[in-house]
Amino acid sequence: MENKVQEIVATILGLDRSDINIDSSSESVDTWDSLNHMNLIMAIEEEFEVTFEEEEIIEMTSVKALVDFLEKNA
Amino acid sequence: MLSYISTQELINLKLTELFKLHGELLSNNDLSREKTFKIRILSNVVLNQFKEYLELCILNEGYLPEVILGDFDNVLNDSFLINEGEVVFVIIEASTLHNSAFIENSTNELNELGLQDSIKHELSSILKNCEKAKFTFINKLSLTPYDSIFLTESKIAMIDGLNKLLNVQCTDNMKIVDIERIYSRLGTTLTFSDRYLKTHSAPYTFEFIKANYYLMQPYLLRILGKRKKVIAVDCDNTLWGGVVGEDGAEGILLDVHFLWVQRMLKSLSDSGVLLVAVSKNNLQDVQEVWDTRDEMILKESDFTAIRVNWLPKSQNIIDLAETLNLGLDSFLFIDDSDFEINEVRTSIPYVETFKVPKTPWTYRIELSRVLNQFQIDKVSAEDLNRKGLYKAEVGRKQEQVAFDDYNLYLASLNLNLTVYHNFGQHINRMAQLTQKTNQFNLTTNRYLESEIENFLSSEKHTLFSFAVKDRFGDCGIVGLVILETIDRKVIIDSFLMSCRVLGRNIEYGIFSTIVKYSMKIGAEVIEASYIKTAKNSQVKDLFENLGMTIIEKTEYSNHYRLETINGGFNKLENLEIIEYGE
Repeated sequence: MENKVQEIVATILGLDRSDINIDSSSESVDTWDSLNHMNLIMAIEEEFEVTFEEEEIIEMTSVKALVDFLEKNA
Repeated sequence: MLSYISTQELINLKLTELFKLHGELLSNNDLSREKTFKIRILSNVVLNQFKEYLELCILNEGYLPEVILGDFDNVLNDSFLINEGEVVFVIIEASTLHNSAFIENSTNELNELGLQDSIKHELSSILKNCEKAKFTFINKLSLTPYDSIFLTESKIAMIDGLNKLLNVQCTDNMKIVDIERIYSRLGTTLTFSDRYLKTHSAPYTFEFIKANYYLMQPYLLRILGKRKKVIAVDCDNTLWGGVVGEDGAEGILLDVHFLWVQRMLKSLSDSGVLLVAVSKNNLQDVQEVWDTRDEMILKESDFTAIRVNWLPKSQNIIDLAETLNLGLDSFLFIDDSDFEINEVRTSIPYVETFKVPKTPWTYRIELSRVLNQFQIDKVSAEDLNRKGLYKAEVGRKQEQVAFDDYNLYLASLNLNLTVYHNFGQHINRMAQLTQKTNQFNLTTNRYLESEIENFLSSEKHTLFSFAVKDRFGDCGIVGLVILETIDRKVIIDSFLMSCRVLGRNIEYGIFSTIVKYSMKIGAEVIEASYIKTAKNSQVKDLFENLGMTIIEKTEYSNHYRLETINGGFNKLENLEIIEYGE
C-alpha cells in the first residue's frame, strides 16, 4: 500500500520513484502544487476506489496522510 | 519503439496511466517531430487534465504540442492574444459564468441585470477573435448538470439563444462541440463533480475530459493530417460469430451484435473509408459465406482488398500499405485475438488496433467510439470514388512478404507447450478435437470417445495431447497426435491442431515430441500421410517442411518417411516444452 501510494505520487508529480518517501509532502516537493494535488487525489481515488471528503481533499498533502487514510478506508 | 496508443486504450485510460505515458512519450526521442503543434486552451474552469490528455494524444500522433493554457476565467481577455496558426479550444462552463449567475438568479433577475446581452457580447467577441486561429473548438453551452430546479424553461430558452449565436457566428474553421452528448451518454454523476468544482474549480471529471476529446478527435486528426483511411478487419469472431473453417458457412453466427458491427463498417465503406479483410482462413470458406449467407451486410464488393491466407497479419497489412500506397499509420486493425493484435502491434507499432470485446453485447458500442474518428461532415466525390481507385491498384501489385520480424515476435511470446502422454483425463477433448478440427488436420481421421479409449489401452497406439500457453494466457488442450507402432516403424495416424494456435511454429514442437518418442522406443523409421480434404490445404507441405521425404504422391494424398531420426529442429528455440504423463 505504502509503496503503491509513493509510486502514484511520483508518477503524478513527474518524479523518479526514488525522489519520494514516506515523509514527502507538498511542503518538501516543489511540483506538489495545487493542481498536481488535485490530479493526485483523483488518481488515488481511482486506483483505490475511495472517495475523499472535501476537507480531506485539502488536507491530504503528504504521503503519510494518504497512507494513513487508505489504511483506514481502502 | 513505443506502440501507437490505440483509441480503445485512450478511452479506457486511467489518470495515473495518463501521467505515466505522458512522461514516457515526452522523453521518447524516437518520435519524429518535425512539426510542433500550437494550441491555446481558454476556459472559465480549471482544465489541466484536459491539457495533459490533449498533449498525450498529440504526442501519440507524432507531433510536439506547444500548449498555452489561458488564465483561469479570463477567456475574453485571453482571446485577444490568439495568434495565427494556433488551434484554439474554448471551453465554457455555463453554470459558473459571471459568478454562477445562471444558477443563482431567476430569469427575471438575469433580465434586469442585462446578463444575457452581456454574455452575448462576450461570446461574440471571443468568436471574432478566434477567426484568426487555424481552427477553433468551442463547446455548446449547457446547464444539464443542474437539472430541474435551476433549469426552468425560460432559462433553457436563454441558453438556447446563446447557442444560436454560436451557430450563426461559426465559420468553416470552427467546430461547435455538443457536450450534451457527453451528459446523455455517461450521465452527469460520472462527468460533473460538485466536489472538485468547490475545491479546485474543476467540475469536469476525467471521464468528461476523455469523452470531450473524442467529440473533437475526427477534426483534430484532420488538422494533423493523421486521419485513418483503412480498416483492416478479421472475419471469424469479428464480422461473424464462430470459425467458418470449423463451423462451416451455414454454422457461423450472424446475430444482431455482429450485424450492427457490419452495418457500421458498411456505412463507413460507403462514405469512402477503405475496408480490407485480413483473415487466417481458406479463401473458399470465406467465399462461401458471401455466396450462401444473404444476411451478410458487408458484401465482397464492399472490400477494397481481401487477404485471406495463412501469413502473419502484419505481413498482409504491410503488403496492403505498399499496394495502396498508404502509410501504416492510416490503418485501423480489428481482431478478436490477443495473439493477432499483439503480433501486429509488435511488428508494426504505427498501426492502430481494436480488440473485439469478449462480451458481444458491448461490441457495437465500444467499436462505435473508436470508429467515431472516421466521422466527417462532408463526404467528397473523391471519398466516394476512393474505393474503386484502390481496388484497381490492388489488382496491379504482387504480394511481397518478409518473415524476419515474425520470428522475433514469436520469441517475445514465451510460448509454452505441455505434452501429455496417454493421458486418460483428456479422452473427451481428444475425441472432440478429431471431430471438430478441419484445417490443421493431416489425415482428418474422426474418432469417438470409445475409440480413443481403445487406443489408450492398446499396446500399439500412443497418444500425445498438447496444451499451449503464452504470456497472454492459456489456450487449453489444442493439439493431438496419435501414433501407431508396428515392429520398428512409427506411423503418424493423426496430427492435428486447433485453429486457435496456428502460425506459432507449435507444429515443430509437436513433431519433435514424435521424433524423441520414436528414438526412445528404438524405432528406425517414421511414416506419415497427408490426406487432402476441402479444408486442409494449408498443411499440404507440412511434413516436407518438417524434414520428411516424400515417397509417394497421388491426387488425394502424399506419403512421407523420415529415416534419419536425429531430432534437430531449428525453429524450436522459442518454445519451452514440458512433458507430463506416463
